[in-house]
Amino acid sequence: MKKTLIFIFAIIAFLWTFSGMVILDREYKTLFLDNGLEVIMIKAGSEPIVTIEIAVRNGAYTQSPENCGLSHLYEHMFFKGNKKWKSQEEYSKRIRELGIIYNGMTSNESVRYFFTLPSRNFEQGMKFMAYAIMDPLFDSTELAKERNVVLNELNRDFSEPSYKFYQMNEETMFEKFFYRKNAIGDKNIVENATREQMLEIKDRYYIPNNSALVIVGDIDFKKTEKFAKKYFSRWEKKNPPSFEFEEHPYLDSNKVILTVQDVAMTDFTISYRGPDVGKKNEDTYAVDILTEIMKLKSQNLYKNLVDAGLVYKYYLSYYTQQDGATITFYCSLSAENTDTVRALFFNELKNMESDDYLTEEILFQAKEKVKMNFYQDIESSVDFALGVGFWWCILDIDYFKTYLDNLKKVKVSDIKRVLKDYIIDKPYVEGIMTDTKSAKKYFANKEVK
Amino acid sequence: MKKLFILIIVIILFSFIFGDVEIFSSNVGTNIIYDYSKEREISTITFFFDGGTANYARDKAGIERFLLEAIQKGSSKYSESDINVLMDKYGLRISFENNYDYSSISFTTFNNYFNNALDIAADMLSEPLFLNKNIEIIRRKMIDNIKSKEENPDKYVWLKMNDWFFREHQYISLPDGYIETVSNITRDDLKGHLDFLTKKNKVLISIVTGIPLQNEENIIKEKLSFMKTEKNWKKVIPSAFKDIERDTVMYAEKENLQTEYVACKFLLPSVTNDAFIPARIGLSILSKRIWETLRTKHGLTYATYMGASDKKVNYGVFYVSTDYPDSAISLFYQEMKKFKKEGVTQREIDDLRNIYETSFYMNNEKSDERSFTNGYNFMIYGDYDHNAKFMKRVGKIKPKEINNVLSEYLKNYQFLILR
Repeated sequence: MKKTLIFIFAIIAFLWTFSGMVILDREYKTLFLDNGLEVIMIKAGSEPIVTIEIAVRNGAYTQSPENCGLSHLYEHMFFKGNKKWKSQEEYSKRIRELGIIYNGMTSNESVRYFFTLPSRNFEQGMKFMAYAIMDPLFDSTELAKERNVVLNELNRDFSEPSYKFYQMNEETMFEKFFYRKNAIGDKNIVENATREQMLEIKDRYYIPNNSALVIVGDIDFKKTEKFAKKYFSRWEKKNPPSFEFEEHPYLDSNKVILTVQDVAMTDFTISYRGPDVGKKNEDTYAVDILTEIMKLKSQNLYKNLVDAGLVYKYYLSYYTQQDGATITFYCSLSAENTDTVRALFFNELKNMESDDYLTEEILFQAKEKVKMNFYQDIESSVDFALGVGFWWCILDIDYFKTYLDNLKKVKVSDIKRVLKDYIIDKPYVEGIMTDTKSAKKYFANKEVK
Repeated sequence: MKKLFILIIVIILFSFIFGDVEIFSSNVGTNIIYDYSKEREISTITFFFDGGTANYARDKAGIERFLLEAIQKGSSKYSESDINVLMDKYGLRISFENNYDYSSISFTTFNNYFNNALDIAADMLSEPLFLNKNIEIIRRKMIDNIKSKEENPDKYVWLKMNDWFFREHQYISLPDGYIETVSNITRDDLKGHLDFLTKKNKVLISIVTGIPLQNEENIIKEKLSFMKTEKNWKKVIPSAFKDIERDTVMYAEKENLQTEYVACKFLLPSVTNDAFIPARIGLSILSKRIWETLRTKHGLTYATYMGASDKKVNYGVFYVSTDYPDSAISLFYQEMKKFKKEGVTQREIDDLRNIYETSFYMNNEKSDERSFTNGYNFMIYGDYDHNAKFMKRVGKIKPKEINNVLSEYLKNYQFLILR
């Protein structure tokens, strides 16, 4: 009797835990269609909805000076008519019928599109996504209208002081090939974009062997696999695009940009070049931990800056990229505190190099914090899908899958190595955005851009 | 053997069955909405204080924001530094919101640390330190934040619109306060107002978690026993807006704008009025039409919408950013005219229901969003489950009802153009 019980429990436990592979405690499965499309399926969430996402390795980094901004315009054109739902009206009607909540986003190294819809409409959603991604019409009249829509988006962005400041920082860091960092693009190029240019992007980047289909939510693997094959197999494989770029030149000296805007608080940033993913991945994990340590509320930087009232908020971010990653310290503060904050930041970096500053305990805390952030971020199936799509674009699904395990391996010596290799005594871009009065009073020795 | 097997399966299945929502009261009458679902890994506790700007005089504008910032800076049991350490350790996220009808503060963490977060929250709300050093830091931050609101044109256009639309009404008092009011708020004001909020005002607590209620009920009651509601507490109902019986177009200017921004408000029935739901559904349909006309057909804008606010005293909104404000406003009028002539169709209502359904489920996924929604619905509509009932109503409503209600309210548009 006892043996039978144990046997039953063992069977149940086996079925329960081993019905698939696990990613962040969620069952998942991947497969490649014959045309090279990678399909990533994740069972997540307890609500009857599914997110269907297509992630494409396109974005600012694939741009030239002649088509700067067109990856983003293309993303807008995805939501226009296609071979099956020909006009924008038909397309929108179908969206409403299926209860789709949708969006698209163009970043430096990824373009992602998602549809979230009730799981009962899953098959129809897959069919709809397949036509939208494979058969866009790029009708010239629609293109003309959408150009204006994108121009208005661009005008809105540039009406915001913080956006202008961000762009100026990027332009200073990546001066030579800024068009590979400028997703929103150049106004003149967007204004004159043609259907032929859209088709060129489609042929080069919108191919199955340069894309991933990510499905997250209330799904059944067998059915999902069947629908993926049924609707996406006809997507024609082509020669994969080349992602070999001339490297962004490194700064040879520190650069300072001071911009004067109609602002109440001063923004202050210091940015370094970070490790590019795909080259020395072990450095990317170490930099993630380093920036997390510097954000911990229990650590000195937070105490010295926030608790002491010198800054209103600050963050450190490492934007993991293949083509020019950056490590940025940003804070919002009163202009008179800028010099003190700068000194405290550099002092903290110096302290981190010393033998007794970074302890195993701090390292453990930072690792736990990154892990918790990860789990909090995947509570929503859309966010989960977008996260997977992002990492797939910048490298591959394995990077995402093994991320937390690789973080565990980071040692104090790794943190010190990346500090030395990427930050200490390395050239940086210092950015200051402030108002006219503060510029004269506190930054009179700096040249205004 | 067979029976035993069935029993095991039943037990396992039972443990998978959905969670549930219960509402119970603490020993002293505070309402607690407890939303449990086994699958949740993350818990959120949100405290709502009924009233918002209506809770205080205009010369204290900003006090609830000040308070919710200040309580996070240390309490009798947890110093500022302790709180910082524990926030890292528990992955604890604290967020707050100050509004016209309520203020709220949320604590989100993993289920394992639910009791720790509850203890921190209770201590912050019952025995904050309010050290003078921290009060001055928060004051400076709030003043600079008030000044910086004018930087973003999207925020600025609504600020200017509200100056006009909320004049002579409680809502004119900005939840974030003004430089002159925030400058004068004292430590005693903060202590007095916290006392008022937790001992005289109505507090509502909305919890979303993966821990069953039976494990937590007594702990919650004990920890929150300091909260009381005064016996003769009355719900704050702000007065109605004064109607302006004509359309108005106003202008405001700002330097360095690359495009123009149009904000528009008009009166709507309050959320407790039967006409509100038809008005809300109708405006969602009109929002879709506005998007299709202004953006899809004419390419005039990147961002445009129309909709109903869900405040105790209510209004409708229309917004567009565009280089061609005159054309956009003219098309807006054409759409309103078309609606008054033709109304909405059953097909449009059915389509809207599909979209609402997806967004309803999306909102349920995240503990913090669900906690906020349950509490918000209880505060504003008197029913935590308002969204589910709203969806059922959308399924039953007929075009005639929407057309009748909206025809009455689509008038007296107040426009402000920022250029």
